[in-house]
Amino acid sequence: MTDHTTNQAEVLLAVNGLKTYFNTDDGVVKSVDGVTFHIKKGETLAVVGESGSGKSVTSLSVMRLIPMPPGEIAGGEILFSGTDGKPRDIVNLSEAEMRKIRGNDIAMIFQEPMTSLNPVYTVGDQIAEAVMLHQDKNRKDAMGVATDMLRFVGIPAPEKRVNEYPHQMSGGMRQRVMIAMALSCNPALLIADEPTTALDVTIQAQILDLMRKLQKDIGMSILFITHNLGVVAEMADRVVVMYGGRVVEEGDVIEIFKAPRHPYTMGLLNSIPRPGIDAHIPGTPRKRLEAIPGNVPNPLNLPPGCAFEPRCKFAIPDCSKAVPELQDTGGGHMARCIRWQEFEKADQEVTA
Amino acid sequence: MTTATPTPQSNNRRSLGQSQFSVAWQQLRKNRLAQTGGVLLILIYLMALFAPFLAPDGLSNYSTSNITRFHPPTPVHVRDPATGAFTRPFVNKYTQQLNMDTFVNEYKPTAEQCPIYFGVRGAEYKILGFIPGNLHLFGTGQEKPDCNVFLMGGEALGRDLFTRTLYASQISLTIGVGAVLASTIIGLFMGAMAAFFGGFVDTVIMRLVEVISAIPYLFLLLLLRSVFPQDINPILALYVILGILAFIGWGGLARVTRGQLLSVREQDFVSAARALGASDNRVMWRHMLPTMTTYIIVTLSLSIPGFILLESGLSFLGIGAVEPYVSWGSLLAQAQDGGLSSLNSRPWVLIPGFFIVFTVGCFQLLGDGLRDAFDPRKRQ
Repeated sequence: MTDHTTNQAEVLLAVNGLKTYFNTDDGVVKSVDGVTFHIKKGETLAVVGESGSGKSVTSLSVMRLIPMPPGEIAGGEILFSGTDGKPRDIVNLSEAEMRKIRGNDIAMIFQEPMTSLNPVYTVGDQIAEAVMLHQDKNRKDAMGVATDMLRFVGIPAPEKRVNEYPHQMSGGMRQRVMIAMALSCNPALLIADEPTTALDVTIQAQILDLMRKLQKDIGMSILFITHNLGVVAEMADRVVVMYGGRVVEEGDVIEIFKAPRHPYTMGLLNSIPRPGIDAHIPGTPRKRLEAIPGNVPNPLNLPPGCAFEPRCKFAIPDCSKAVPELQDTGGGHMARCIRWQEFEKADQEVTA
Repeated sequence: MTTATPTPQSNNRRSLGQSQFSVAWQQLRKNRLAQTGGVLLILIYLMALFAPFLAPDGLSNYSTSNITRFHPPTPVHVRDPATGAFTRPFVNKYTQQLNMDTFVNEYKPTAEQCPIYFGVRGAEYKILGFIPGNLHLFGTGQEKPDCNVFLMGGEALGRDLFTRTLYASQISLTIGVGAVLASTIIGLFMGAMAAFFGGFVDTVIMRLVEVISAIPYLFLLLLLRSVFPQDINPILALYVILGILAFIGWGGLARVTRGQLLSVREQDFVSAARALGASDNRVMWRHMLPTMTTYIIVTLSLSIPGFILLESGLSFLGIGAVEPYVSWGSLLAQAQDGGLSSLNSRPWVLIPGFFIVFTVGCFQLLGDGLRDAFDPRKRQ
């Protein structure tokens, strides 16, 4: 672990140097290349990044749900402290042991509530299935748990809803059902893979509120995967920014939003419209929203140095020489940029 | 967890949940044609089940002393010809005489009456193979052995065609359904294996499907039948035919199953089930195969008539049901005797063909109805 401020005992999940590669006909795709982060108990860690930055593959690696072949976990360790508090390396667990962890200790909710529920069973059946898989309960008791879980996630008239089919529910309701399903076995860690992306904004807010409330009630940790920085600001305690399969910046959410130390994070933050600051003054030309130029690099041939170098407006020749190290910028804030000190200095000059 | 202990569900309000099947059932109930087809099919199957009771004679009973080859149908009279008053239904006894000009056996009704009794004792039978009986719905009784009722005439050996047709329905209707069930099971299994294991297994199964479908099915059927000895036990022969039909029929379903499962495998709910800790087995049986239900129900109902026709075709060619057992197809084969002219002189031998048409039509109506009922775009 690189984080010195954290007491090892309260770390729930520690991912160290995780490498998940996909062997394709065109070559090895290094979707996740040496990712290191940790989640403490009761904490929400947001993983942010563009499509293809490796956020989802990281979460699937933690669940060991990477299709193998073509995928493989080529290196690193994923230490998970289960109910006994002893860290176990998920990478080396047998499939049977892993099945006991999935759904029970680590649960996952997916992006698309519309397709994540099986259309041929009632929602009660599906929640009960999760309960029966991990707990020694008969069907009737499991259905009782399902009803309670639906009530728990705020679905009105759960006694009726438990016997309904997914197609009879709206998107927000289905995502609530997914959350109920994921929480039915009282997991220590909830992986939420863009849980609000497919929902409209009002429902998004409801679901986020619900997740925060449930987290407080249950005391679980959340690994929140998203590309929505607004959601990050609302939900996360700490943030991991990923780019090109690597962590480029990690730190406290306030710290990162206030003083980003990696040009990619800066670009992401600048690409959000800020109604108060960027307000259009009549008579003046409209200001363009800042965007990060270019596209995510092809994961088959990443640039030799910093993966963000081709798109970076602060790039210098040194950037393309070697992959920069993740450097501690103080207070548990890390950045993978060779020029972070200059950004810090610039910040201080502005505020001074 | 902060939730309360599970509360037992006081009342089961299943009616609120609308499963795919309840929706389909409602849709089917609106479709009069499909309902008619379904009801008629039930009647046909009941007829096949109780064929020994409904038939006036035994499966293979015929007189060796008075051979009634291609006996014409005997009209049932209910009025006494002498008085014109209503009487017990009767048929006339027929005599046969060789016409010395044409050398054709001619049947002529005599004045002698053969009364028809209801609930007569006659040939022994076992319904479903274990319920014994000798009661028949109607018949001429046993006191006058040469007095017979031929509702649909007689066939080549002088056996009652009506009786034979009823018995034939047992075979025609079960072989079709049995072959479809067997081929569905094989097809599902093969398709699931191809999708699940992939790689080598997938290649072998898919190439096998292609090889089977590349050979014209009639040649394949004849070839497969010729592998088995011709003089096997008649019952065994039926199973052989069933197996052959199933063997040539599974390919299409295996392909569709494989494709469907491959696409379902990528669906989020499968990942979600895995993320909940479900095993491969469980994912396969509980989450992937049930997505095939609708397709299977519809294909089953639509492919049964195809198999009934195929079996009739086989029997027509003489490689289907073997004596004494008979199917509608092998009954039709007798219509060939003597060429087309025989159809002029004894058109009643074609009657089993109408049973085929009728049954196939009913299956088509029901199958179309089922397809529409399960199709969300056709919902009313």
